[in-house]
Amino acid sequence: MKCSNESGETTRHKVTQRVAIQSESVMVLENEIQQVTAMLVQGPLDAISPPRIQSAGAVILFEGLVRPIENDASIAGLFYEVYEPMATTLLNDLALQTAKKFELIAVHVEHSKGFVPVYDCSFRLLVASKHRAEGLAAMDEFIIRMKQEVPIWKQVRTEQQQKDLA
Amino acid sequence: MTLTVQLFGPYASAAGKSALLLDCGDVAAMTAGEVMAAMAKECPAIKAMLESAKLAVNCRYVTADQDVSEADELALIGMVGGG
Repeated sequence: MKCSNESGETTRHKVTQRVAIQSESVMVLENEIQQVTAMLVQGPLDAISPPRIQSAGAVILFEGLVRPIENDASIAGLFYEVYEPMATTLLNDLALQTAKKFELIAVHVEHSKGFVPVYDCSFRLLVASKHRAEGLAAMDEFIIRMKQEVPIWKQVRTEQQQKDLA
Repeated sequence: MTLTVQLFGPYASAAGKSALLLDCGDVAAMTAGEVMAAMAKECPAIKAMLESAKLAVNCRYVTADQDVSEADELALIGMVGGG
C-alpha cells in the first residue's frame, strides 16, 4: 500500500509480520558491553535509520536487496526457505563469535523468510565498533560465513509463479 | 530404528520430498557417516549432492563419527545461500 509521510512524500508502506526477537544476547568482554541480536522476519525488512550507539566510532549498516534481474530475466522476487530453529541458533552464534573476534560493540542481524519482492530488503547487518577497520572486516567475514553455514535457501520467483501461487 | 532426516532447498527438490525416512533395522544408534551412507542408498537422486552437504543433529553440524539416535532431530544441510 502507499501512504504519505509527514513531509508529504509518498512512501511505500510495507505490511510485515515481524516475529518476536528470536535471540538476544549481551556479553561482556574487557569491560565493554556487547549487544548482539539475531532475528528472522516474515517477508521484507522494514526500513530503519541507523541508531546512535554509545562509544562506537563506526556504525556500519549493510542491507541486501532483491535485484530485479536474475540470469538476464526479470523476476518478481525471491522466496527464502529457512530451517528456522537452526538458522536462529547459528545467526546468533555467528553474531556472538564475530563480536568477540573483532571486539565489536554491537551486532544486529535480521534475515527475511518467505517471499520478498524485488527492490525490497531481505538481509540487514549492523555492526558497531570503535574503529572503521575492524567493523568493515567483521562485516565481510560475517556475510561470507552466513552464506556458507546458515541454513537459508533462496529461490527465484517469476511473476507467473507468484500468480500461480496466489 | 527409524530415522527421519529433513530436507531443504535443492535437496528436497531433487528428492521430491521434504523428509527421508530411513529404516535402519535393529540398531539403537548409528554414526552420522552411516546415516549419510544410508541416505545415498535410500535416495539415489541426492547421492551426488551429498558430498557438499553436512548432517545437522539437533540444529548443530556434526562430524561423521557423531552418534545419532532415533530421538535426535536430523537435517541435511548443504548449498545454502542466504542474504
